[in-house]
Amino acid sequence: MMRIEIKEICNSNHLNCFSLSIPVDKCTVLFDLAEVVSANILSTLIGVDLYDAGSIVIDGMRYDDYISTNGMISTFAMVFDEGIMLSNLTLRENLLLPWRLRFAGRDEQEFDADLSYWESRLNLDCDFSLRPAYVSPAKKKLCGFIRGLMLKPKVLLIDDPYYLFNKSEREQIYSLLRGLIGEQAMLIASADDDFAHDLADTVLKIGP
Amino acid sequence: MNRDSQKKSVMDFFWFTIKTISELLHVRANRHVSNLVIFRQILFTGFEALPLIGFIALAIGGLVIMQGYELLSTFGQGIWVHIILVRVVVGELSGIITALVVIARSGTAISTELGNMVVSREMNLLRSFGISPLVYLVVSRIIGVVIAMVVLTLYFNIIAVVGGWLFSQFFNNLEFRAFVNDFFSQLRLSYVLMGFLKSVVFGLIIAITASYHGMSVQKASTEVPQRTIRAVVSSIFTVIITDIIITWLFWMLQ
Repeated sequence: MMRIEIKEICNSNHLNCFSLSIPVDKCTVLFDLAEVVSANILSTLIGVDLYDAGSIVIDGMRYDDYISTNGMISTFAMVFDEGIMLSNLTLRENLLLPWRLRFAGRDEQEFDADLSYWESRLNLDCDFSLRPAYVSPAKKKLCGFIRGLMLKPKVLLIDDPYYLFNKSEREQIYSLLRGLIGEQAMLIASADDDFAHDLADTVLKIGP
Repeated sequence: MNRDSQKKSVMDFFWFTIKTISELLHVRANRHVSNLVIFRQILFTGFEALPLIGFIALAIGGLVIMQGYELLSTFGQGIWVHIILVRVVVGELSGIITALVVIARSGTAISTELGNMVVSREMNLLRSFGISPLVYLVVSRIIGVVIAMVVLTLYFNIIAVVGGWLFSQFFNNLEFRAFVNDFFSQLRLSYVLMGFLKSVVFGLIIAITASYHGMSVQKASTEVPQRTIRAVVSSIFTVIITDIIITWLFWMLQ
């Protein structure tokens, strides 16, 4: 169980200021119909959205101290809404780059075994030697899920899990996330009732 | 652009350069420098540019010999054409022409690629892994461009000398060994050092300027070509000014 305390955080654009206490045990959902503040919270946690006021405390430690002690990559892994991949690398290299940082010194065979496990669990049929530009956005996003899961972070951050998916892919993602409960702690930013009503053990409603 | 924003842009550029050079100096300790990015940059900037550089060098070497021989032979001094080859090609043209080719091919490519990566939020992805985009993307590219620039300049010199010899065959049947001996008798260590220094500095300028403009893209894809044009103009301007300064310094030291 991780507790994230966000106190008077204002993003650099000063449009979104918020304070929130987020307990993350199995699955916490930030239910945000506007999908702006919840996305800001996730990007602030991975150090992307810089803030110039307020503070973040994780399990009683200042954010910077916590991250420098535990490392960003083993604390949080983000599944971006658009399934962002580095365009100068192949899909495999995209997955391997953070994995090597997370599990330095481990054999690449372990990576391949892990990759095929998640590939079969997601029923993903994809040529990982391709560059991201040659793959559909939905497949890229599924690869983004695999990348996040392979890093085995303390908390997996998922921004808008259904974005870019069709109906059958949504069902697939829903059952994957359902299966992950108890296996991987998740913090989901979403405006979908599916997650808030059925998956979450904690729901934090943001906005009106 | 008003004067204030112009000042801000210049300050940003200097700040970016200082940060990049400071990361470059700690490159051994930095595990986020990517060998893969360095290797691909050398392949693109260096290896793939060899045919173009070879063609230009061959033509320049030949033309310098042709023009020089014609000029000097009117005074009966055709034999001194090697001095022109050493002074003009090794001392000046090899560095500047290679730099212009690298700006046209790699400077534009780096600026466009980084700009598009900013637009598609790939920098955010790197930050989410705890990787500094500056180190992973910029420092790795700078190392690649500098290595490629040094190799390309050397290659330019070799091909230009060979081109010069080939063209000299039209005027007098000079043996290759005799031609090379004459060439080396004119070559001074200071010219070699100057050529090396220029290639390293030009490589740094091109890579840093292109990266800065690429990373300065904010959100819109329409900014990418605008930034690329600025990268090309700034690189050409800075390379020429630096060329003059380095040549002047060596001239003063001699």
